[in-house]
Amino acid sequence: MSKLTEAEREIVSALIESKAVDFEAVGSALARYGPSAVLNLDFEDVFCGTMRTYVRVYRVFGPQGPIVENPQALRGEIAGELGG
Amino acid sequence: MVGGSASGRWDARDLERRLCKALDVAARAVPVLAVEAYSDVSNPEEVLRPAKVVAETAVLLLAAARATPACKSVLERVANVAQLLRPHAQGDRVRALVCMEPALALDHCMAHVCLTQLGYLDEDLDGLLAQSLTSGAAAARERLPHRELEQHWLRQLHRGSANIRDPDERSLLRRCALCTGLDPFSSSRDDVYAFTHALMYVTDLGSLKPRLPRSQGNIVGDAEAALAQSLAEDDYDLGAEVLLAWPMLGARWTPAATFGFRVLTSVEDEAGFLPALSIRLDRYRALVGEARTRYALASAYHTVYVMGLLCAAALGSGWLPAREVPHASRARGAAARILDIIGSANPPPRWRECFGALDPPQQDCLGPLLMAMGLRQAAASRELRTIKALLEVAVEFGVVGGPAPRHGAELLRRAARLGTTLQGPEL
Repeated sequence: MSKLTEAEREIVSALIESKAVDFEAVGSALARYGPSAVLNLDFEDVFCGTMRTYVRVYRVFGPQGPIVENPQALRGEIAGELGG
Repeated sequence: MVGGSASGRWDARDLERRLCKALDVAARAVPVLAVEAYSDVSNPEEVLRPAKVVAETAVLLLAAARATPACKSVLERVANVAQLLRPHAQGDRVRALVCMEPALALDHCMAHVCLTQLGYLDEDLDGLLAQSLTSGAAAARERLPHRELEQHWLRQLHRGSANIRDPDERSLLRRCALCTGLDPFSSSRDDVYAFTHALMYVTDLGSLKPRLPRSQGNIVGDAEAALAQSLAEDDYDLGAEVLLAWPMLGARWTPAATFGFRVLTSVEDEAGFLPALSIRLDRYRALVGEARTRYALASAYHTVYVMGLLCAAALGSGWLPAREVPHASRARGAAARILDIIGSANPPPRWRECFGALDPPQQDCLGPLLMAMGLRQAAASRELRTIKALLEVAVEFGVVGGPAPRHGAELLRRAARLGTTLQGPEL
């Protein structure tokens, strides 16, 4: 598994602390199915299903994704630094 | 407009000016980035190695000097940067690496080989490189086809025989992206880089006109689809690399390429340099002193170099970009219909502003570029209904050139075989 960047770690922390992803609720819901799931569902990890991932956060790229910074602001602040 | 000339072609002096700006950035970048590796704390896994900066600087110098053998302002800058580069390209560290790693000897000597072409000789290092290349371990490295082509190119430059084609090159060309083509819907940045880099090496940065594995028209078609991708994403680094295809192939500047060049130059003029997607003002503002300078140079140098390389390639080819996007004589109204379907991102990418400044017949001339953008966007969003709507417009207006409409039709046929509805969000 790749390491999280600082920004990604901040996002994950914020999701947990704000309870946007409520792990207690997730755990409680899964606990209802735990015993029967071990016996009946098609887990790769047949022992107890702990290796399953139930919450995923996707970072979406595309036309609405990364946009280059404002060119005029770049001229004002960075162009001089480059010496070009 | 900036850079135009009365001939209908871009003003060569403006291209030289832009090339000089890239060389000025090189003069700043080498002392800062060629000494130790750089990584930013916000993205510690992305490490900029000094060897990369050194090699890319040397390639820029070689392209610049070849393209403008009589331009004093360019040649003075090349000489200045070459002197800054020599300790890093021909120093003790490079010698040690060439001695220790024969399979990577040409990689370590990329800058040295380019500097040698410019007259900055180092016979001791040449001898060591030749000896290393005869080692039994010299070929002990598996590479992608475009990286193999890079090795061929460097070997030929080292021998001083870039115009003599290696028999193995034909089989390599059949395996690289110039032959296999690019998927206009799902090609990654790495796929496009493989395409553009293969083109750089096989043409010796545009100075050779080799026998290509496919027709020039097909290769330019792939380049146009990749250009659509890069413009849609404000990815000027990729866009400038893709635009190299026209001068390096000696191809006539198509309306899409002419427009792409205008977008890049307008952004460069406004920002003072051609920016990369990765550069972030909030990150820059959070730094001070030397850290700030290193961040600015590390984030910006590569895209600036590619723009310099593009200007050099255009100057060296003698095929200067057209000054204006031509007016369409047919397919009138096609652009508006395509834009109605594909909508716009918020905030809009930069090309929309440049596009809005064109006359409607010029906009219609860019129908194939818009079609490629729209089809890629619809395929990425799994919007098969939108692909169908775009293809209907393509047929109605005759905007069917390039690989994207053909791939769109093929995609719909495959989806129909699956029995997939044209909603398809679950795909």
